[in-house]
Amino acid sequence: MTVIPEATLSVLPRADGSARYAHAGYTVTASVNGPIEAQRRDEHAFEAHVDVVVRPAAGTGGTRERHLESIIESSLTQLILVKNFPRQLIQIVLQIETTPDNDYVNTKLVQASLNFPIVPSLLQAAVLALISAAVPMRATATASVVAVVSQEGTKRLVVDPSPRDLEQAQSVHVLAFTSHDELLLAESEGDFTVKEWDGVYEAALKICCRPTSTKAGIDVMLDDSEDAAGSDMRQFLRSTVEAKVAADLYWK
Amino acid sequence: MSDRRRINGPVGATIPPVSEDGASREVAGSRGGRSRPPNAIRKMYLKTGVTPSASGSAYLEIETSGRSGVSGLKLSCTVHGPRSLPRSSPFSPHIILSTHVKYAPFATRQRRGYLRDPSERDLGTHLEAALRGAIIADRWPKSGVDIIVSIIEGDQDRETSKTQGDESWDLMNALSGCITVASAALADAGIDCVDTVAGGVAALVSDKGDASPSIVIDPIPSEHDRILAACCIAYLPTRDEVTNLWFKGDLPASDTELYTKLVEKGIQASAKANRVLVECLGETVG
Amino acid sequence: MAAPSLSFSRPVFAKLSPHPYLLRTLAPQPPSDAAASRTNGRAPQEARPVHIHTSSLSHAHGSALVRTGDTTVICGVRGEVLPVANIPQYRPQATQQQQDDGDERADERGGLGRGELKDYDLLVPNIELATGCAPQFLPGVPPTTLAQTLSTRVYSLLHSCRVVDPKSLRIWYTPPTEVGNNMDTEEQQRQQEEADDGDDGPQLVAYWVLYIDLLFVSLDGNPFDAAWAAVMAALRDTKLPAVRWDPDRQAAVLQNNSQPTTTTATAAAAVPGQGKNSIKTTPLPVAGLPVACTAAVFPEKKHGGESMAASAAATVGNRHWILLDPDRSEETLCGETITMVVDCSSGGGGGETRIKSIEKQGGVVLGRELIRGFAGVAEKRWKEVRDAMQ
Repeated sequence: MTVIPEATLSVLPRADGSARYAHAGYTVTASVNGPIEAQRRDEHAFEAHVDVVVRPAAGTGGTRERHLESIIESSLTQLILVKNFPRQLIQIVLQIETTPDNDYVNTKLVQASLNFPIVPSLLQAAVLALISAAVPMRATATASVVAVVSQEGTKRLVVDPSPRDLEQAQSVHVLAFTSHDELLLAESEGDFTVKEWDGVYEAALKICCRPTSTKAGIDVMLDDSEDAAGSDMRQFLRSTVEAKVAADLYWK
Repeated sequence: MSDRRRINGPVGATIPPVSEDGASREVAGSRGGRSRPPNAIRKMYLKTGVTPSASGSAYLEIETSGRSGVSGLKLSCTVHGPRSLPRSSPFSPHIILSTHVKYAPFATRQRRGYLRDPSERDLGTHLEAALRGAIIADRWPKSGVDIIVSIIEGDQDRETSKTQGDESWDLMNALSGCITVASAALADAGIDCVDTVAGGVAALVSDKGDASPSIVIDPIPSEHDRILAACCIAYLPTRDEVTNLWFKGDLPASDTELYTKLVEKGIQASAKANRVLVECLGETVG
Repeated sequence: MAAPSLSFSRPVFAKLSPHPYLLRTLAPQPPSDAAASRTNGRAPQEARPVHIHTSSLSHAHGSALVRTGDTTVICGVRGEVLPVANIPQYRPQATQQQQDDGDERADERGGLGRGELKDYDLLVPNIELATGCAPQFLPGVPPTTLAQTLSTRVYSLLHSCRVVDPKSLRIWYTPPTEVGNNMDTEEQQRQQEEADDGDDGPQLVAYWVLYIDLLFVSLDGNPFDAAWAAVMAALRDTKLPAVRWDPDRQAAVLQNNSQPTTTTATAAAAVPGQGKNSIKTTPLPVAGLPVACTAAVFPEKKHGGESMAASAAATVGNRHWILLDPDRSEETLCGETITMVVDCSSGGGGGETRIKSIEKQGGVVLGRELIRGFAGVAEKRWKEVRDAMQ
């Protein structure tokens, strides 16, 4: 399973912007169209309407997808400068392509409960696609999922837990931060205390908000000595976009 | 095809537990006989304004018949409007009523689905007919009003077996309750009516002891051995008009007097319900 | 503002421009010495009192009516039987003994994987808003996004809190002697099983499926807290009838008190039922008492999406208020919400507060400190709801 995220920008030729993002076994393709004319009933007099559609890897979406959509939508509305586009629509379609398969876990096709580990992938894909579509944003966002797994009496944090870890986890947390280090989204379930949540917050902050090295380019230094596993999401976002810009400007 | 906008249960069918030895025990046990005089209705409790955000609303509860396990009717009604019709709809010189009656999933012995079934649509149509005669419809051209009745608990005996097919008779009681509660909600919404309309049910029943069938008002199917016929009436007392009449059952065609009598008794039941209705509305105003 | 002659009454003003109206009541101008309060008269961190009635529905196995302010919701829980033969991908787990052992192991692991409950869809919560409970929820249309989201949240929380133990939903059948199949008889059945050969032990033949239906009678903001309180109250009120498996009819048969009970069914906590030939029932064991507490963040500036210049500027006019238990008009003005589910019932009430869920979205105001502080607010709410449940 990939622990290092992979992303490609502008994969779809017909959409205004698109991105494919793969991380921890999930692959999500996002397309962004907008700002375009909104339907009458979606029209908002003072700001753009952000419409998020989540399509599952198999079958049609159910109540769970509606819930995911509402989470992603409320987060993206905070990032996009919606006030700049009154009476407009920004449509984001997130197609889940692959989910991690696991022989040990009974995977059922339709489950109504919230699928936590997919949220960062969806959000990340959406943010990249928005950048690709050049939609003006207040900030970008990075997200990560952390599970608290108790083993032999001790509790440890697992970043990007596998389905097997999730089965045994005591609590699972999704946290997203804006590029101004503000907490944008926090979803947790399970059984935990304020103190444990604090630890999770620290771990997630470390992944999402490590100060970006101003050095441009591909030779990103990943500090391997860091004990908390997981990558530096903000640096990843930056290098992905930089790589794309560099490739696009190759002819110059 | 499962409904993907709701959380669906297991793929395999689920069945409610069945009772021990079918119908026989139930019939023997739960037949209590009628505890009220034949021309008395059950006590009811009516309250308006249960849903403050709606234009008008009302809640109606009809007392259980004293024995537990037998549920009384519990209805809640909301009225939204009058409001302008959508642009797409054609011109209408009068107000357009849209009625909607829905049983809650936990309202009856058998779990109800979320989609309306034919009997619920039936109730909606009857309710619309009953209310249309009471509303002064031409005061609101080009507008519509939504009347939604939720049946929180049906008028049904939990322990009675289904053999008698009393579901259909329950519809009568449900409709009469719907009419009364909707009328109260309309008044609460301040929609002009010529009069308050109330529902009443009369039935021709035959009991074991009696030789000939008798007419009772506000019948509870489980209290009688057999219901031969029933009629539900929506009646405007001050105008002495019937706005809706629903007759069902098996009556000898020769005996026309029986029909008139049944209707008369239905009107009597409706008038009694109307008294409660007027009293409740009077309290709200005063 | 307009000339003094053209003054509006308070409700008109509230309707015309709700945001400045709420802002003005929350932050009174210096000349007036009115205390800061919301337009509904509550203090920012004051929730509406909760009223809970249970057992008012006779067709449901458990029911509750919850009212907080003008939000009223009814919850009915009904059990139906799902024979294992009807489960398409049923994986039999040999005997009761092994199964119980397996459960214990799973408990030790403390896994979030809920096994049977999730795999076989034994809990089916649904929320119906289309009852005209508010002008925007009219029937005749498919469930709105809000209804679907609420249903999903209730479903997730039911599983992640392990409110219902799958053990209490199993229906057993012992082939040779017809014994009770109640979970309270497990002990005896186990002994019996040890005496017998493994093959003759009790077989798991069916599961109870709990249909949890919620109907909003009236909605004035904060639907989730009310819905969750109703679910908990209804589950605590749920009494499943004692049933016996009839292999010939392939159905579960109700046991009633008048019948001579078989030897093993005596331990069942028979509740003196209603009526003459009442059905024997057993209360559904419900673990813990998680309580949801929701608040919305009201920003001084309308909606978080400031213009680019403003976001760069200093924090002038960046005050915000955390409004506990928001009503409908407040919800429309607030973008950011937080729902925290806490359970203080573990360890005899004196134990540490366990957080069961946090859902924070739609804004960046609530950071780490505020969320930490919000746990205290949620604890206070927990006590209020617990008192209302009793």
